[in-house]
Amino acid sequence: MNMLRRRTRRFLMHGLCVFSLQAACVATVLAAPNELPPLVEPATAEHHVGKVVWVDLVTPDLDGAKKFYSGLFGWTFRDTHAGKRDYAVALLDGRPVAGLYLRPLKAGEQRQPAWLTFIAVRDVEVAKRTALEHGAKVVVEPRNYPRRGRQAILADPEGAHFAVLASSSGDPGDFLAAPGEWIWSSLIVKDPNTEAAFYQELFGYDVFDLPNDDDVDHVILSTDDYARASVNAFHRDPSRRLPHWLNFVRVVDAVDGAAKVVALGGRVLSEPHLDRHGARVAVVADPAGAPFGLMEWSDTDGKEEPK
Amino acid sequence: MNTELRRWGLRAFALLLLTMTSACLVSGEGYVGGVYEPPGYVYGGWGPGYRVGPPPHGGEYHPQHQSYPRAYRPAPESRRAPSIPTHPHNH
Repeated sequence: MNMLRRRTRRFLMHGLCVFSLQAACVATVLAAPNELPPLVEPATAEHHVGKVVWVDLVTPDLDGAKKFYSGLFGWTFRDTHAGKRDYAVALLDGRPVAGLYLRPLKAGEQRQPAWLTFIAVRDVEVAKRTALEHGAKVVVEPRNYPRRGRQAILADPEGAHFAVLASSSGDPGDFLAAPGEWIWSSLIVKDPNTEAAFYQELFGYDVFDLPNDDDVDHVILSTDDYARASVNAFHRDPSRRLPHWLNFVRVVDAVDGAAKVVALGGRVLSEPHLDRHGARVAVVADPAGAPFGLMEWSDTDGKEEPK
Repeated sequence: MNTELRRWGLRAFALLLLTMTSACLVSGEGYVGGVYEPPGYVYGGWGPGYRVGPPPHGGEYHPQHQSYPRAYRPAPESRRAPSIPTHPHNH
């Protein structure tokens, strides 16, 4: 009888040890350091609520994306991890410009990759509460990232996804984007009128409705006396389109840029054409299908003193 | 014997609890942990005349007459239409 008890005890102890060891391993993997870099280095006290301060690409082909964006914009990459995911920080002249993170597709899954737009806030909880009160939904609950700050992902009343970020290192300063950097963001929706109202409540934007000669609403969202983004209506067939944020990288020549996109395996979705600011824009997609814009901007446009 | 068995059981339970607690206290998961899924855009909607850019120089602003009531509060007419920052990075 004693022998049986001893064996049972030994068996139980071995089982518990193995289980504990496995649980510890799982915990270690889950606890892999999150190395999302700070938004600004060295940290500043600058804050620009309502400014698009970061973009992340969620892609099923990280190596392919790095090759494409490196060839197109001259970005270099610093590989790191975000939790257990492969993550690469894209740099231009040593400045972080974007994050690329791997999200492999499952067999048979068809999901178009996308760039996620991060907009600066001072308090993520307040932003979340305000957004919910005005018809938004939470896609990912607020969470802290040790060096980055606190962020959450929301869907606006029409369903366009965006992230709010309270950066712990301050927000990037207001400078003219160099070629290869993000210069502009546009929200394309079914109803710019109500969407502009939503974003005004959330970020305190000044809203300017500008002349439109093509019967398409064109609304500018502004903070700190700078234009931060536009809200535009779908041109055609809105019933089959998903509202979304689209970010634009500054290029010297949109025609050359679009040709380069194709040469690197991407696609042109909207051919280069003259925009309201007197230069060309184009909408393109990387080889995995993530859409983004190219925008020309003249250095001589609107020279001014730093604010 | 029963006492000893109970003691071992308690120790094992404490170890298990500690392990589970540490697993719950991990940081760094969020959408990067695989929660966030892009909605999957449908190409298009931009149209050949898709024009989105900011005013190049800022300048005069005259709120447009809208045939429908605005849901937002338009900036007052006294304001200048804003443009994007135009001074380059400090290197």
